[in-house]
Amino acid sequence: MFEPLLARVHIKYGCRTFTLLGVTLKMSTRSKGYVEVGGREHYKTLARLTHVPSVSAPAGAVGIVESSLVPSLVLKLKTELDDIQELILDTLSGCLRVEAFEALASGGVHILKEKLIHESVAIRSKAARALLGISVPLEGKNIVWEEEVIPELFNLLEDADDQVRANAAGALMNAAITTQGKYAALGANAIPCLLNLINDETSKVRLNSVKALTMLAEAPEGRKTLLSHVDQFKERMNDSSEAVSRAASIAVRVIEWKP
Amino acid sequence: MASLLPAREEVAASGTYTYCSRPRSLPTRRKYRDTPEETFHYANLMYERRVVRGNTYALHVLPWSAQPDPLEIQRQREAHRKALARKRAKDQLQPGTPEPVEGRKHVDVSLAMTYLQKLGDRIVEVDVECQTDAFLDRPPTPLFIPAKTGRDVATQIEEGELFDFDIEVKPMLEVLVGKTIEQALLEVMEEEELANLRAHQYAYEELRNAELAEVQRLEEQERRHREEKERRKNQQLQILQKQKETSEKIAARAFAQRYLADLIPSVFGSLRDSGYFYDPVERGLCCLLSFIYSNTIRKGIKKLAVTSEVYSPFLTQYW
Repeated sequence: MFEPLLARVHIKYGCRTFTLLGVTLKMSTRSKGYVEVGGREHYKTLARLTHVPSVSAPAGAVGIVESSLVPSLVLKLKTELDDIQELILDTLSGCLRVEAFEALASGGVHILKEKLIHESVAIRSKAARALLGISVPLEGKNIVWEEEVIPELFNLLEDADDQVRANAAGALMNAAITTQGKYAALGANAIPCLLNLINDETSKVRLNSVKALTMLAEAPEGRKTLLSHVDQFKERMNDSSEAVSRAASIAVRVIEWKP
Repeated sequence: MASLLPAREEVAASGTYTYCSRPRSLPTRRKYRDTPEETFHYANLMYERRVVRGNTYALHVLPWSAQPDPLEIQRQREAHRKALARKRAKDQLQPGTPEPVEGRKHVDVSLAMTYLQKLGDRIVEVDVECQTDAFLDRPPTPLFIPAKTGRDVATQIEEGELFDFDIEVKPMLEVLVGKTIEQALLEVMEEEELANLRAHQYAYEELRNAELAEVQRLEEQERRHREEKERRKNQQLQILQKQKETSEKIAARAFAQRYLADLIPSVFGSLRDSGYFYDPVERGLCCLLSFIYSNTIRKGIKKLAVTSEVYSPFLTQYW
């Protein structure tokens, strides 16, 4: 198949033949059961398309969303082999940046929740990343709370792999924006776990956990608990990564806010 | 038969020859030959002499009219004349038998009957037969070795006559190796670039997620503050409302109280004035007495009336 070549051409010139790919993917997704070997290239190409650099949003992701491949991709997530699932999750994360409604409508949250407890590390981290993307719009946050994904995310916070931790913290950060998410997180005793993660090595983990704690500090109970740990945040203000220091200063401000 | 006649009549009319014949069945064949009756003249197109057959390119077409064309006649005459002339010329050119010499006479002789000779030497003839054995196998075909034609020529390239491989191959090798290495370098650079790009993208995504979360948090905060403000405002409004209501109620109550303060005395006063408070014994006595009085007065008045009526004529008479 000429998919690898096609993918290179896309990455180089960013041309718009994703509709053609979409058609071929649709034809291969319509076949029941596991996809044949050549189909892996379809998914790879799709995953690569979402990373095509573009000014506002990846053109590939836009194209995939427009060709309404997202529902079928979500459905395929249930049945496909592991490595293909990774590729699908990659593609989905890219597409979710553009628009998350279709994935939500096709029950994406439920499927991703199942993937969170998968054995493979890559799938867990990618599933957490997809959850991050899905919980950006308000409906996503509500559905995440309804499906009680938040307790699952806490288990992932203590995972060995740092990407998994980072993505889980990020998903928590997004889910805890709504009041009910906040209280769900506080109820599951999130603050100690997240406080440990503030001093993690990976900057992404630190950033996401600081942000998640900021969300929780909006609630009065959270603020009370975190007031005692303000100095940890103050340490983080001198962090190497600029984003982390900024986030830490915002967190300090939020914690010390008096109504 | 009958159908032939009308066809022929049409010849003179239209000028073209048409022919048609109704198909007829064969008559039943008789077993015994009878006296031949008048035979029907069938006009079978296949045996019609008037139908042109064969090559039609160079036909001797019949003249249009019965009259032969004068041009044709002339041509025929000329051809005839030419043929005669040719024949005469031919006779003149070819010498015939010369005239007989004096004293001799030409005689026609036939060699057929008289001068026959008997052939003496007869050639000995022997019949010889040759036939292969019926059940012999076919012998193998002899090898066909074609006759040698042409010239044998040999050539041999000695060492050192052609190019020197090592020297010649260098530029080609350089090009090949160079191109391969270049390609490999390009690919590696591309991959590196891609990896860079991806790393950049991850960093960006991280930042973006963080910023997005921040934005949403601020939004949420804003929303909450706003809602809180709204609620408090509403609460305040309600308090004010309640206060107003209570003050109005108080005012109303005070006014009502004042209004109704002298209600009872005035009521009692008016009742007393209308005589609703009375001593029943006194009332009873008064009623009885008034009753008796009224009766007496009525009687008195009646009496007075009667007397006045009786005495009025007398009074009028005397006034």
